[in-house]
Amino acid sequence: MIQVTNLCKKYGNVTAVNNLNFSVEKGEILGFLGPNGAGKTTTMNIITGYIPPSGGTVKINDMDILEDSNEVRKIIGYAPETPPIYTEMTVEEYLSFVAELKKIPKEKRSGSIEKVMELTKIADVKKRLINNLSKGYKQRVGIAQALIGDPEVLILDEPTAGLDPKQIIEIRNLIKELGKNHTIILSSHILPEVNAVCERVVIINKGEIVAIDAPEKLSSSLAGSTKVEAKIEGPSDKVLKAIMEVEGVKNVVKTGEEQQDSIEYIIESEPSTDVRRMLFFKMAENKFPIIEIKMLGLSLEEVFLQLTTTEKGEVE
Amino acid sequence: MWAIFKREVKSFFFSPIAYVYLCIFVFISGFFFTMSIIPQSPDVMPAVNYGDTLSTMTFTLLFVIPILTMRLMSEERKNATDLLLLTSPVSLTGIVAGKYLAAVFEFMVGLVISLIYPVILAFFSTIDVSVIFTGYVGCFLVGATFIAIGLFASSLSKNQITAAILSFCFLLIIWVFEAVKALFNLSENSQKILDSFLVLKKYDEFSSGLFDFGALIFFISLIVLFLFFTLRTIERRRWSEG
Repeated sequence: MIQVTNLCKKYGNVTAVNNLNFSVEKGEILGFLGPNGAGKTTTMNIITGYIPPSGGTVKINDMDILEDSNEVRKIIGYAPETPPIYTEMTVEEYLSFVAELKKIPKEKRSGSIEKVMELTKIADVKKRLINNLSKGYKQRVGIAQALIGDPEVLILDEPTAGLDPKQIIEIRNLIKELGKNHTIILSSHILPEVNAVCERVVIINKGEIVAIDAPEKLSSSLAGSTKVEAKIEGPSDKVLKAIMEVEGVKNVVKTGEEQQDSIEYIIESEPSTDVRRMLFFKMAENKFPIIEIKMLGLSLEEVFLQLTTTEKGEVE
Repeated sequence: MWAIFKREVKSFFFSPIAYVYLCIFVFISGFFFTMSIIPQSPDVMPAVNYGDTLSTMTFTLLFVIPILTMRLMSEERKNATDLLLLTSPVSLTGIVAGKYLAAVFEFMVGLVISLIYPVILAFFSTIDVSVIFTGYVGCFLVGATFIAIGLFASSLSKNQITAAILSFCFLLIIWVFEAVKALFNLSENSQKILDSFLVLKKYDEFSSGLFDFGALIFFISLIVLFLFFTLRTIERRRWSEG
């Protein structure tokens, strides 16, 4: 669906985006993750045809964004970070302007506008001036604008910026819903968001891709080993010995001090093996009650920090 | 293109700028009109030449056109709405043409209002319809040219005020040209060459009731040239700044 090849963008001597390669399948939600200034917006601006690349190509449905730019634009909806809204118009006027701009046939316009307002939950403010709307509503009008005409590809640049937690959840659900029959690229610097919505994540730093994978795979591949944290009652030396006997356990460390007979342990095992069940039976056999147990996967935050703060070359 | 035209005109008449512009335009033109009909001495009725009045009105376009054009492009950039326009399936030429025609339309509204003066005159004296007609055509052409220049100035800056000052400077240079010519003792040929660049000079024929075809071509060429500059400016910025 979307094919990005060797994409570069230079501003004079400054390289904003360097040699990006990735592709997005039809119906996929791809997350674009990176610290501020990593080149997310630049990449999105290039894909949507707002700015031309310095090198490389972007193809959407096998059409080049520079050569067939008018055709490509018809199938892309772009919601930039700052919503491109005219504050002196009402929501309805604005959306009908966008529909006309996108060359939606006259008879389909009002239907399309109604549907989009329904989806983004802005129908109740349709008669109001955009200027008088709250930031959350403005943001949603910005997203509504991208949805007009039901384009196949949606590019959303930080769609939840400036929304309150309830609205964020609504927008995330909307994006998931849209993902069923749209191809979506979504940028964010908020990690749980990408984790919650996206099927695949591109992590970008200083204009280069540092990792592409599914969110959960990213964390396990970087961690090296699986860690489990457990709170177990019983004399520590005997518990330690019992834990070591569990199949797959590589190492175990006692971390916490004793508190009400229970002690905290960190149990390391081979990557991609889950020792929790075996641990349960082993402890039950020895009558050492497990008070608490939890998996210590690297969170996406940690993955992100690890990827974007390590020197280039160290990261595989 | 028409979507942009319609939106532009609508938002213009929604904003106070429209009324500031129309007020200034109507006030200045009304002032000059009144001055031209007030008798110099009580017993002599003045010979009203509406062509001269129009000529003065055209001169005031130097000051009012920047008000009209300053926001055209700069506001889009400031509000980041240019992103919407440039990523929609409308060509850049369509965008610039839509904006330009909208400003020309807004300018015409003012001109149409000023038609009331010759109508008033017609009640009290005989008027030369051909002079008024060509005068208005000339005035329209000068305005349309100034708008193209103002549009270009507006594409240079994100800030409306900067854009207004820039277009005012551009227009002022055109005007100063005429003054400079009087300062120097130029040979006939160099006078002719300089004359061919003077925008307001081209208007003279129109105000005396003649339809100057050469001037028409001159104005249209200037308009096309500045619209082309506007296109290039926006295009260049997309490549270099993004």
